Amino acid sequence: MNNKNYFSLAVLALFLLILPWLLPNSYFLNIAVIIGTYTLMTIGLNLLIGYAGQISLGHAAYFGIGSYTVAILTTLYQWDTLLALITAVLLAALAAWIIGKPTLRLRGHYLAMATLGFGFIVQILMAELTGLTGGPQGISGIPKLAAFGFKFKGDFQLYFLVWGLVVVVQLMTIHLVCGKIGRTFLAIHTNETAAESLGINTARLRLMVFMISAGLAGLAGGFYAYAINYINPEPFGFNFSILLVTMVVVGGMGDLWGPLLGTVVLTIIPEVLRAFKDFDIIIYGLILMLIIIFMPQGLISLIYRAFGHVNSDKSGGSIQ
Amino acid sequence: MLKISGLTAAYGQAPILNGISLAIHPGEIVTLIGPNGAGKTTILSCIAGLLKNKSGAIHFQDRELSSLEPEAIVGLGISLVPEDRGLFAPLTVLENLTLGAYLRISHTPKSAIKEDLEKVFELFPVLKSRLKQSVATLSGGQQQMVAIGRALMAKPRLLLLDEPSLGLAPLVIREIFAVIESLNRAGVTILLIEQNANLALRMAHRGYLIENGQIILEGSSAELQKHDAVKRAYLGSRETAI
Repeated sequence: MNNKNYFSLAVLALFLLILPWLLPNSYFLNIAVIIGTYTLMTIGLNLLIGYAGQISLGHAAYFGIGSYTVAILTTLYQWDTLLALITAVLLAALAAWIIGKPTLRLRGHYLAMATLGFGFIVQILMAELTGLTGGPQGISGIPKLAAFGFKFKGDFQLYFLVWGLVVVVQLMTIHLVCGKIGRTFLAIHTNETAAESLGINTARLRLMVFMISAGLAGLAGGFYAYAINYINPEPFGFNFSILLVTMVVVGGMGDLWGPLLGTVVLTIIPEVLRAFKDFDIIIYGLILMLIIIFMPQGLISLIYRAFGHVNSDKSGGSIQ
Repeated sequence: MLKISGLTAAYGQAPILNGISLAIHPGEIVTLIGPNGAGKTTILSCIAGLLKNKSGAIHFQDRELSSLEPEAIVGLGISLVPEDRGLFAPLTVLENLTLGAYLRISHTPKSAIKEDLEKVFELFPVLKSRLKQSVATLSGGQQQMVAIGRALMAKPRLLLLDEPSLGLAPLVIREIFAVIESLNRAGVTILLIEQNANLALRMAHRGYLIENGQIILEGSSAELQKHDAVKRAYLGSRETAI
């Protein structure tokens, strides 16, 4: 299963290398960059939902923390852009630690509630801490990312940067999920009490995964700030948090490739549905319902079925 | 080795244990018998740190356990084979067993872990041919073997067994109990919970009869077997007994 995943990743990387030359214009390249940014987040969120069995309803907040960290450090304090990006990742992970430490000790979906509240608080702070965040007007004039003597400015460079990050993150995720940690999480998922009785500290592992997923959201946020050079509080709200969760669920949670597929499909569908004008949101909702009803394992199960292979890393129920 | 005094515990507002005191000496097999819902499993949960007790103390070789996390308790040498076995269905036999050594694996050489696996296969040879199989495909008896094997991978000095006979055929029960006895002879102290009092008392050195979260009776197995209250409890579970 490990080798198959590495092979799939290699195929994906090759495809990504030639994709820009297949796309007719920069509009499509732009969408590809957006998909890459979201994928960084959904990969992390999938680790949390699909493996650690917890839901974050405020992931947009970590995305926002990443964006604002980069924006504030580079515009107000003229930090080095790479250093600011690294700080963005660490700050998002630290915020996750603060929220996760008390809530993940408890069983049940307390993290969902806490992140929900946190998401609202963060967005309000973005709008109200005018001196730091620029308030509703946001922050403009964010520089381009310059790292290793290279400046990422055009869509082309951004495309390769973000998808390069996705490939690296996915590589690490495969390593994580197929290794000891993945098995441990499958164990916790199946029977938490039994896992704890073996000395597995479920709270600490969940916290670790939550911090990783938040760190990845921070990375995506930092990248986003460098990509569009202007941010305001608007995109970092509840709707976006829900969209991210939806991408993971629709794609197939607990599957390594589900979030990528979900992100691609759910980013492209609204673009296609623009042709339907005012009806787009209705059709969008209908598509989501159909997917969840007929493919509860996510869209990825459709692909596995097409290739006639049984997905072996799905968790089953516990043995009674 | 293990000394429990005045233990009380509750699930939310519902009291389960009302002042349990018991002791287990090194090398013993001690059994807790009693009807369903008496609080036997709760006692094991408290020892393993899965449930925090309201009051009372649990001492394991002079260490107070009730303030410790399950992780630390496993580290001290107490392993639990949970009720209903608590296996990880999507994982293979080997993966389940290896997870039993979870706390040791980072600082133990691979060869030592392998040796411990071999010891488990010596006890349960049938597992060796099923290593790559998902535990969901095993029979009930084999699943119980994996559950015990997994607990042994933590190298416990005290093994807590929660109804290992549950749902198993008489022949399989005999096999499992023979292994438990041989483990005990090899130096592992055992605390065994059984609804099947007759079966448990045949193997154990001593026992406690628990009803409604209290210890009604204690004594050597021979004494308990003759006692009226035990006969009553035993008869109560006759339908499910061998």
